[in-house]
Amino acid sequence: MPLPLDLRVALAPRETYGELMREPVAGGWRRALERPALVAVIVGTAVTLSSADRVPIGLVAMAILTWSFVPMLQLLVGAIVSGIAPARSISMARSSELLFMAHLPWSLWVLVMTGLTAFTYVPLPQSVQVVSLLIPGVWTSMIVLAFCRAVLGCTTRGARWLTALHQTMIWMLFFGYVFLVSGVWARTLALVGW
Amino acid sequence: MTRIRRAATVVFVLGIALATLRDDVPARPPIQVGGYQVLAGDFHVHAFVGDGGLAPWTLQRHAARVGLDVIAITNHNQTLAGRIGRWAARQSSGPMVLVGEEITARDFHLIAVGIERAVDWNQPAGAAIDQVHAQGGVAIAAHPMHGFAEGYDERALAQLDGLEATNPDVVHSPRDMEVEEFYQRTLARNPAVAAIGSSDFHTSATMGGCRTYLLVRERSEGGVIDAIRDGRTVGRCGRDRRGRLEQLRGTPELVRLIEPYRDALAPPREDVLSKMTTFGVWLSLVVLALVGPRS
Repeated sequence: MPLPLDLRVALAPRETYGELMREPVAGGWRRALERPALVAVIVGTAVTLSSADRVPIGLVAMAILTWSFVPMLQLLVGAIVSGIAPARSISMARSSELLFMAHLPWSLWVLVMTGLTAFTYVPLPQSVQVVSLLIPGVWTSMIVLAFCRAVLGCTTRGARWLTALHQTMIWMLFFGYVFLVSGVWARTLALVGW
Repeated sequence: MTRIRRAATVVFVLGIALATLRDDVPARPPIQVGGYQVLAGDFHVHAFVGDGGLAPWTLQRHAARVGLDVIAITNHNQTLAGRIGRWAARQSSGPMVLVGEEITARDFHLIAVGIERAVDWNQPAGAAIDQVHAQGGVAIAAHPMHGFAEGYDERALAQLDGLEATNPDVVHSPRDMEVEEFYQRTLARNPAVAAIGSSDFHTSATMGGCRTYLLVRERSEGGVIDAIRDGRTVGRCGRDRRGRLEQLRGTPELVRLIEPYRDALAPPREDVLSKMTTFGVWLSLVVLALVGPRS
């Protein structure tokens, strides 16, 4: 049995994106939004599970709705990266669809963290949680780099720049949100002696 | 691959359906002690948009699930989520939802409950407490241990209405000594300070896992605020999903009053079927993530 597509993209991104680019698929926004929808379901359900320890439809639906800004922002960042790639030969919808195939590292990280919280009762130190962010971060960077080379037709140097831009925007949004809503900025001001 | 995807989708949908069918609110008979009604509250609850996971309008129902009579939504340096939560709660019956804020400053964290407008974080703790009182609210020192409580000077300690005498970060941990020391220091200046138990509910603690028992004259927002102001509270922590032992904290007289009702006031326990359902939903999501939406 062949490996699932998303897993193949995660394990061998350059080869898999190369194969996908050779397939005669027109794509379309409906197809392109399937994976963002899946990510919204994963994030919303995971948040409900870890917060409430139960998953009634009302809580899950509301969490999916409220946390759907996460895949939406990822779509937006992906569109910016695809939009500025000079050698892109496919539609924006197909490009977004292919880029969202890189969701697996983060989806698995969210689910593993949720599983540890909800089922093992092993208290995971905050420092371990923060350091563990590096795994999906680095893994996703490698997939995005392969995407820029194989899908967007960038040179090695151009692919590195676009990957850096993509990851910078994603991490800035992530830390920006955390910074804004958790009051971290007050503590940061204290750290810098203000 | 399609069959695996379909099977995972079926398990996911069935799990959600089963969880919805079993989503009941446990019945709790009212408890009277010494002429007061006993309520269970959690005054440190975060919500979306903020660093909480659940939307503010879903929190009232969730509070009922975990056996609480009152919660305060206390996002960092804002009251928007609290006001939304209170508005939604007033559209239906159930636990009370109070507007609050976790005033997150450089050298102290302070819970304000029963306020309307956000209190400026950029001021000394004593001044922030004054502003909470001016709005008719009560001020509670949040997780008062190293890193969160250095800003409480003598004046601020004397002004506090309550402090989180027990919370999930410290219960049965060495840091509990820091909280106990802060509690004793505050009691020495303010013997009526309320012992509060709070969950600091974000996305992984259990709401009401640590909670406060309040002896109220009437079941109302005013009744709750008065009970905290007068120190008629006992903080409880433990017997959570990690199975840790229970901790009751408050003045010995109040703890003695509450003690006989420990079991009646305990958070509802989760049953095996519910755990299996959530595990099935989680597992189906792992499979769906791996196989993706399309081959």
